[in-house]
Amino acid sequence: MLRSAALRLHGVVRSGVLQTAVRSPVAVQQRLSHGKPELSDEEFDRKYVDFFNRPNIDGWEIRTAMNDLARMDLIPEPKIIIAALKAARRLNDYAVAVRFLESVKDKCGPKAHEIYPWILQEIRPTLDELGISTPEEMGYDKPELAIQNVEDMQ
Amino acid sequence: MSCDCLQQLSKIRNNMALNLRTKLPQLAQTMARQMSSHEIFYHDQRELCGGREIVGHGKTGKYTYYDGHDLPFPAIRFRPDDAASKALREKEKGDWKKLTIDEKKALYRHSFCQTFAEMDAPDPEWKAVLGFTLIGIAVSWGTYLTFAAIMPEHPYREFFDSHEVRTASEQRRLDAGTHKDLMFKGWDMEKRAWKE
Repeated sequence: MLRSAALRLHGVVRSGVLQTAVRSPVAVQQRLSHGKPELSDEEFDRKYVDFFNRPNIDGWEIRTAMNDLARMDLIPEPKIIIAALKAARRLNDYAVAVRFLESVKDKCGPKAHEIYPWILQEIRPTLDELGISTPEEMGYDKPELAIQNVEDMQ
Repeated sequence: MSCDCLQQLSKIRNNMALNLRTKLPQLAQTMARQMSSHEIFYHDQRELCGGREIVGHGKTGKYTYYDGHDLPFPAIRFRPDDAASKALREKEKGDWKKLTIDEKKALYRHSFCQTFAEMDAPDPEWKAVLGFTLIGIAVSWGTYLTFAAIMPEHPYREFFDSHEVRTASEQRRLDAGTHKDLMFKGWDMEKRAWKE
């Protein structure tokens, strides 16, 4: 009695539970790689241009997006920069625009003398339209002020 | 008497806590939670940014100012709002072409402390570090040389270093049987002398 019950149980387990357990992952398709799905260059540019072009963007979001761009291993395309500058204009924050240009120049790294002039040439119409001075025009390509060491302050 | 002592101690402890709270604002949260015997009080340290406008998330979400290449836009503006800056912010809402360079610079410095060029500027601190390091080495070396000149030699130093003593001590070690695997091949144990 016990033997037959055990055998029947064994058959149930084999046919039902085990086989579905083995079979089910085959049917489910999922991404097993880490991280977010990669965006193509065009998708990436469009994503950020659309983000900066949002009419209800606020100072918090624009700064977060610019901080993200500063941390990525890339130099933003001129169209992203133009959209960002226009967003800064809509938010009436001049300092953000200049700081972003400085950040872009910093992102160019050792090739700043090749890439940065080209970027300036591409965004020049927007700069003139909005009245934004480049960091060089403001004299910020060289150190202007020295700050006191915090340890020396009373 | 002991009660007075305890009161004094607790007063000192409270003063310490108060000083730490004012001097180490970053630690205040943790300290207050650990030292407080009352209910736990969480706060976001918003008061630390004073009258400075909160404009973003920043690095960690705390209301602190930070200059860095990895984070160009910190959570708060660098300078607190005053009458001049408010007037300038009003003017900023108009056409930016009408702003002079000085006004643009004032706007920039209202929001940020250092430009990228200033962050990258070389810091001459290494000179002081190198100088103090060399001074430290000089002081310790000079101390060693001074003591080496002052200290008298051990009276039996010459005897300890003599050939006879060192040979005898080596033979004694061999007799004791230590380091059997390292026995000298050129040493004759029976004759107690070098092999010919």
